[in-house]
Order: sequence, then structure tokens, then C-alpha cells
Amino acid sequence: MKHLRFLWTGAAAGLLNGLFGAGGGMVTVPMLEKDGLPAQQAHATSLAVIAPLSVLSGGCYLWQGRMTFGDAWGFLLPGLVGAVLGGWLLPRLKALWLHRIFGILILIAAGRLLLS
Amino acid sequence: MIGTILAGIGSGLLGSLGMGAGAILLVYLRVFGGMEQIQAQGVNLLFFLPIAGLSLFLHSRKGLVQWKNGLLCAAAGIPMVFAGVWLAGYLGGVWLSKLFALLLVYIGVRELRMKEEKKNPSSPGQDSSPSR
Repeated sequence: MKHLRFLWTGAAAGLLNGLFGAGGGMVTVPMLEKDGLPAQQAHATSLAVIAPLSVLSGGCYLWQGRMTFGDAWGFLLPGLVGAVLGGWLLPRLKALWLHRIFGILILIAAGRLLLS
Repeated sequence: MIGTILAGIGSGLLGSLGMGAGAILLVYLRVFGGMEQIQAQGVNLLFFLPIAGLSLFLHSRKGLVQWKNGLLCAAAGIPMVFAGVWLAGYLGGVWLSKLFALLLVYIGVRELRMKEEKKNPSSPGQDSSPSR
């Protein structure tokens, strides 16, 4: 039964990853936590699910000519710097306010995309 | 360039809070970068890989990764990746963009309701790994 849940979770994560190029972690993290994994282990294990799926999805997108490495290249270094800075800033920020600001910004962005 | 750096910082920061790191770069590329939805999704995937690889390596060294369960999930996801990629191409940029917006609505509402979930000891805010 537990294995069946893992299979469903993996299938949903794969579909989201291929369809949107994002969103798999939204499925895997809560499911792994529901299975009793502490938050850190759930997030770490979620990466073990999403990373190979992202390699596959990225490969498919490249093969179909949806984008090139050149399109992504400019974002890689700032992204890594951002991740390091994010880790540094994390203990210095109030997470709850970030969640609220992020939520509002995401809803505004959703509105723009829906109306465009 | 400043926008790119801010988008990178935002993705890294939100990812380290267990929030949708994928969403922030995708939104930036769509709304400010002027990219097509499918192209932005592809860039988002490539952007994620080195960060995920590094985080996975670090987490694995700490023994935080349950490889057996993770790889079982991943194996089940492989055929669905092909289905998702096919569906993305079938739907096209306009419909995909609308569906992605609905996903953003879900993420946004979930973030705004985070107050109640914060009391949960297994809340994602305690983690330091990127999440998509």
C-alpha cells in the first residue's frame, strides 16, 4: 500500500514536471511528510525524486528545441549566487512575512497571466 | 542583469524556505523576461539542475536522503514526464500559461494560509533545500 502511494506520488510529480517544468515538489514533500519523514528528510528525498525527473524533462525540452542551453546560461551563476545568499539570509528573516509577501506576489502574477 | 540576479536570489531564498523556487523564476521569465511559456519552463528546468545536484550531494552526505523511496517515486514519474511534455506541446503556450496561472493561484493561497501550518513541527520553513 505504501509503495502504491509512492508510485502515485512519483507519477503526479512526473506529470507536473513535464507539463510545467516545475511543481513536482508540491506533491512529493507533503506526501513524504505524511509518511512520517521529518521536514528535512522529506525535502532532501523530494530532491532525489525531482532531480532525475528534471533531467529527463529538460532533455525532452532540449530535444524538442523548446529552448537552448544559451537561454538558461545567463541565469545559472546568478541563481547559484542567489541560492547561497538565500541560505545566508534565511536565519535573518521572518519566514512568515516572506510567505505572505510571496503569496501576494504570486497571486498578482497569476492574475496577470490569466488576463494576458 | 539586476532583474536576473534578483530573480536568482528570490529563487534561492524561497527555495531555502521550502517554497516554490520554480515558480518565481518561471514568473520572472514570463512576466518580465518576455519568454514564451514553454521556453520559460525549459529554462527553469535547466536552472534547477545544478542547484538540485549540489543540494542533493550535500543532503546525501548528511544521510538525509531516503534513496530507495525517492528512486521508487522517480521511476514511477518517468513515463508521466513524457506524458507531461507531450501534453505541454499539445496544449500550446496560451493554455499552458492559463493552467500555470491556476497552479500559481493554488501556491499563492497556500502561502497566505501558512500561518496555521507554521505551528506544525514538520513545517517546510525549517529546511534549507530547494523545492519545486
